[in-house]
Amino acid sequence: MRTLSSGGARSALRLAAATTAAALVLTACSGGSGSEDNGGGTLRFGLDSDVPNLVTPQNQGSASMMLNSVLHRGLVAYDADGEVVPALAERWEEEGNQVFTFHLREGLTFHDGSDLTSDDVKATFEHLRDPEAVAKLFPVAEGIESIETPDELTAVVQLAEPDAAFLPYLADVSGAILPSESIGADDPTYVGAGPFSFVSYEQGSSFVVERFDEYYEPDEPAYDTIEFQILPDQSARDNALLSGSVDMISFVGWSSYDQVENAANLVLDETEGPFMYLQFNTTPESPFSDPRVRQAVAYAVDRQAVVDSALGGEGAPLWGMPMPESSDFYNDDQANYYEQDLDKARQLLAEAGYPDGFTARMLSSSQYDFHQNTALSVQGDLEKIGIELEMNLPDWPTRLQLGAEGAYDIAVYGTVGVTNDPAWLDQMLTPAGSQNAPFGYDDPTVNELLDRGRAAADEDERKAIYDELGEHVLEQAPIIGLAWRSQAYGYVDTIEGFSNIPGFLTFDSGYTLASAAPK
Amino acid sequence: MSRLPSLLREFRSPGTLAAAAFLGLLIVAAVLAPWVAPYDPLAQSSHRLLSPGGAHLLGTDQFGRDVFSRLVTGARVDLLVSFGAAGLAAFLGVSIGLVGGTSRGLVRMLTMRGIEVILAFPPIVFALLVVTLFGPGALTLVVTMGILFAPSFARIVYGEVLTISNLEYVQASRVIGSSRRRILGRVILPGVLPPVLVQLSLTVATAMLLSSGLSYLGLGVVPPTPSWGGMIAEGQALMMQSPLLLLFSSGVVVATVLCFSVLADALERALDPRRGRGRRPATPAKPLSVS
Repeated sequence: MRTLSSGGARSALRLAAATTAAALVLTACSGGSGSEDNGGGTLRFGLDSDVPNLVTPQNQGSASMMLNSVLHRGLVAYDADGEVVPALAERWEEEGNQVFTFHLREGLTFHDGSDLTSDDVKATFEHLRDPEAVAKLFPVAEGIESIETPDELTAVVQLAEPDAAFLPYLADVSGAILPSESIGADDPTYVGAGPFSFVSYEQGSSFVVERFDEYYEPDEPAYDTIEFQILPDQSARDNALLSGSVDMISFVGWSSYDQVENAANLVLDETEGPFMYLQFNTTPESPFSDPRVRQAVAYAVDRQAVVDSALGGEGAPLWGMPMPESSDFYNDDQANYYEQDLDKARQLLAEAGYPDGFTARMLSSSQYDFHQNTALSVQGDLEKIGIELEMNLPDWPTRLQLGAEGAYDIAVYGTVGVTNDPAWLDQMLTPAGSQNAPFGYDDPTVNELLDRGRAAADEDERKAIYDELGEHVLEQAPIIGLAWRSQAYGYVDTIEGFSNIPGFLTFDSGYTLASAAPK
Repeated sequence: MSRLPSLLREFRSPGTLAAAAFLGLLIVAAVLAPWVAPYDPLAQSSHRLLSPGGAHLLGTDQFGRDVFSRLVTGARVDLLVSFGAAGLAAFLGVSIGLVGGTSRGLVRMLTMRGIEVILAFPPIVFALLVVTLFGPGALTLVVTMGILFAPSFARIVYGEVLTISNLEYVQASRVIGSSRRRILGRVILPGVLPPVLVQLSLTVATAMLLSSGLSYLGLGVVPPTPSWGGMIAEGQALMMQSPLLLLFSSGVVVATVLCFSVLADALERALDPRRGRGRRPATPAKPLSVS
């Protein structure tokens, strides 16, 4: 699970950022364009954040995922629909979700010309399961018992227990196979086996990659060069696309949706990916330790108001379990479990012993206006049932720290699942999720269902387990879904083959840049 | 006071009159905010981002809250914070300046060097530090800015005291055996007040800018309590959809700060000693710049 620290505009010091970004746009404009004329040409991409020290196996936010997905490939990857497809491994066999035998393609090389063999696979996986490496895939990699390499093209991964989430996790860009000698290096080498190889990086300004001729798909990529221009300021980024100084941008600002959609030559490619939710301090000192109080909140908050006031009217209300519609585990009843019912909310509060309401501490952050505005919207609704919220809106790092310490009664948070497979829910519902999880919530029923969900092999059986989990979580309400955030890429309509992968996988969309081509 | 006529003369200029009228109106509106505001400034509704006119004079924001009511209530908060901070700064600064100007040796060194230490801090950085330590809020703002702006008062008063102390009427008072306290409070203090008054009006304007800036950064007044800086931050996010939100909130800050500056200028001209007795003029120090 990753936090969306690169999303939205930074409200603090936004002015400085705007000035810098405006300067960048100006330079970009005057720098002369004249691209995509002959052959593959150059794709100019406005990226939402800088990545000063790219560490591929770690969770460094969405901008790093974009860079990793053009530089690197893992054994498996996601296609445009979010299905797990072969990448460096041309095929694999699995036994009971516990033993995976990967067969590498023949003649794979890294960008530096060295051969990619099963030894590199082994070294990469050893790194992923090392707790010191803080790898994003650690939740599944820690289950790896052994990795054997019978020959140069075969890697056999043995898990301690069956894990249905192993492959979906492995398809994340942070599961990229790295040259053994570069693993754990202090400075990034950017050498991988992805469709593009590294050319240059200028901090805060640009990141340039060029076509890698030895890429395993002979016809890909179509572009000769991708020039990532780092444009952290949202309005500067939107304007760069609208004015034609870049061909594609990530994170289109909600307020620019109409403009991009209405522009004759632009495409708005949108999905509902990340979501906003409420987390409760469930320790006995907090008034929210009683599930009935948490349910009262669930019945009191107007989700549409959150979408309208905090997310600029884009996105969608989330009345139940945060499971994307594109997931195989989507359950319509559970997705629309609650409704706004203030009488029911008041009744639940009275049953819990708070007929006159109470005062509680709300934690959110003023650094991202959609976090702050979500909190304000919730505050307005809870006031109606007698719950007064005292706002604490520090900067983002402090927000994360206070969240991890449990210095709140109720908090606003936003996140996105690692995969569309519900196995990632352990990062939101158990203490393993740290600041993503409601403070003090450690429910044996949830833990057991999550374990069973990963261990079960049969799809139907898994679905039944996660339905049971959903039912339990909705009743216990340790977290309450508020709203799906809309996540969009904007690009000129002469680009085809790029796709915003739906649901939680939106930030893996860089995978499809390999097949993107100018018309 | 003998300078009253010149003050009245200054106020006859249309610019000063307009500034005074605007500020007077603002202060009255702020004091009577609960009665002036047509809506509860915190009440959210589904009438989001309405244009000005109709039921909502200046329209509504993204929470459906009435912008006019929020501006008026925000004026209350902002004016209270600015006047509070300027008042505290004047009290601290004048006290330190008097003590420093009338003492010798160690005490003088401690007070005046202490002031220079505060001057060494960039205001925003100092404010960031205090807010991080004590948490945001109106009281934190007042105290922080009170400390930040005190040095300019102290330096003015210090300089004035040094000049005045050597004037005949002060020496005369000393000769007839007045106590030190009496000389300080009854003889010297009235002499240093005019430049302090000018500095006060300038400081109110600067405090308003700084407090808006801090609220804009989320370090000042805690939402949902309306403040002008907070409203600017909210308006900026919606600049493309509803530019008026940004225009109203920033416009009112600009207008208020401008008016206070105009008033300070008028006050300075009216109180300029060169027009009265032949004493060396005390130029008010510029308050710390906010950038």
